[in-house]
Amino acid sequence: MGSDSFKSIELSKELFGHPLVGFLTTGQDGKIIQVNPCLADWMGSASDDLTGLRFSDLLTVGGKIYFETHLWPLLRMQRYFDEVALELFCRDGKRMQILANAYEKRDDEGNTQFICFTVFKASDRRTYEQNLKEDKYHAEQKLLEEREIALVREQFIAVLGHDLRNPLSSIMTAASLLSEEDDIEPHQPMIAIIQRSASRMAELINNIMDFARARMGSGLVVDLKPTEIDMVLQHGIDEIAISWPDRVILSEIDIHEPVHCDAHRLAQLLSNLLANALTHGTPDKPVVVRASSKNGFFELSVINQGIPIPSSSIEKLFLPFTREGGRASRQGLGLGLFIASEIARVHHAELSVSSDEQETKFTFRMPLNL
Amino acid sequence: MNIKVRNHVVMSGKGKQPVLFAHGFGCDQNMWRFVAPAFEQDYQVVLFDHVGAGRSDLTAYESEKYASLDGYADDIIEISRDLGLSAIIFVGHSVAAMMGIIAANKAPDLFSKLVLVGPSPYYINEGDYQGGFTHVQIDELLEALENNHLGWSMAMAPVIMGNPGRKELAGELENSFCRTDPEIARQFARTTFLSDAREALPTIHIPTLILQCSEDVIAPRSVGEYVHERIAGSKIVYMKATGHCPNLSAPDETIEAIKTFLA
Repeated sequence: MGSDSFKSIELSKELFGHPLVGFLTTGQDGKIIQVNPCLADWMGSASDDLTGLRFSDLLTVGGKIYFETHLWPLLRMQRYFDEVALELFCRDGKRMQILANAYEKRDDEGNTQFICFTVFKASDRRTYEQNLKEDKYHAEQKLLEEREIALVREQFIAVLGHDLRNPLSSIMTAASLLSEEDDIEPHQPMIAIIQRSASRMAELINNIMDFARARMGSGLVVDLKPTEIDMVLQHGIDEIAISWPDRVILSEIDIHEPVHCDAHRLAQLLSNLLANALTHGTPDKPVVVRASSKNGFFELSVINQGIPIPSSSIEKLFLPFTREGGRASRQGLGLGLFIASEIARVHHAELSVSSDEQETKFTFRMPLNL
Repeated sequence: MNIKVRNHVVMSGKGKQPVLFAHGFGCDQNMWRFVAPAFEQDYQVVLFDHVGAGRSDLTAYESEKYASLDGYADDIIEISRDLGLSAIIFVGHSVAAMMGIIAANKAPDLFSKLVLVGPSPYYINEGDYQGGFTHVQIDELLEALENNHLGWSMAMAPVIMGNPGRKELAGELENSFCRTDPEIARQFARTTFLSDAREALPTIHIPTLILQCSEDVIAPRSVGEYVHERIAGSKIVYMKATGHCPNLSAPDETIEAIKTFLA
């Protein structure tokens, strides 16, 4: 018992006599009355040498001005300040990062009796904060760089797409003129190949440009208005049938009202879905286009038969530059389905896919009244 | 633009002659809370916040305009004209003392007397002139502000967004004095500590009082005396108050000195 209480007295002497916290008091005029040994030790001075100075005399110039113009007024007005990061300017010229708290002790009449300051060493904490700030800065710089690179890349795609159009249209015009010449009959199959390939290429270029537009923020531009969509769809089917003379495309169109949409974009969507179905479907089986307007929805489906799309590929199907791995069939850039999904998006429609042993079916479903 | 809103102008008092109080760097019109009421009986008291400080309209802050003390002086003239003030007794603390000097040079018709509390026309030592700080020290100050490594951003308003249920936080906000946007504080520090207004002093010819504190590290005695010498006929009062803010540390002594001068 006796030795226990001796120990606790020793302990409190140790804790209160040589604390790890700096203590300091000043009068209401701001002059230091008392400094504890810990703070005097940090300053590299004897406690007595510090009395009579102002607290700001212990600080580096930034803190000195901050204290006199901001912290002192704050103390006078709200009677305290908390957790302020400052720097001690020690006698040997070294600086020590600290956190300071202070409060004013007033008597019952509101007169200031003295002001108490506590000072904590905060070098590690400040280093940690500086490191965090630096990391944040570097991360932000990196992000800016990446954004710039991405922008240049997309601009490149857009410019490339645009510049490829002109020579291509020359090729198409020349092929068309050539096919009307006399005595050209033996060469017609070759000319047809040129024309088919050129229009396929035009499609690819359009896709690239739409991709760039969709990705560069402006998004696809659409002009939504009431449209006789059955005509548009039939025309789209006829056009693609010319490029695929050996294939059967069946159409089941059952629409009795105008649909609020962008005719050009829906033709593009159909063309992309059809090209996809013709490329991946079994060649000797027909591709079916089914369109209807009922129960408040306009629905357009493109159906082919053939090897089902593996379920692992389905979720990536509508991402740009996605191609079915390992299949050496006639493929594009992998943008067709991405653009189809973008067209669906700007029409507030849903584009879904189902695929099994019987059939692979892409369905565009759009509410008739938005 | 509503100038009263821009500068959060607050008026009180029963008298006719206006006393216009201007606060310095680091705080807002609260700086005058212990002094201004003493003038309400005999004067019209006008308080305001510089754009960027206190409850001023932060959106009115323009870096270019406020990069010089002229921009602030123009605001003081605008406030005075907007309120229709004349024969103004201008009381400016710290850097605002120089704003008053510049305003009085630009619009001498508005002002009748100047009270400069802890004035300094230039904070940097140059030749025989002892401003109190070396160039290196002021650079260090500005760098400290730039990197905010002294945590000056604590002057920012507490974040109360996202806490709609905690109404007591709004109360805390009411009680937080001297709020400053850290970015504006940085620029204001630059304007305050790099401006040299020494040449504006000799053209002042209205009664002027200089209140010089003892042991003021921001505006030392030699600087107060410099201002006193350059303004012909000015009075200087050496105060017992220590530090840079006698308006807060020793309001009674401050009031007494100003009233004696005005009597």
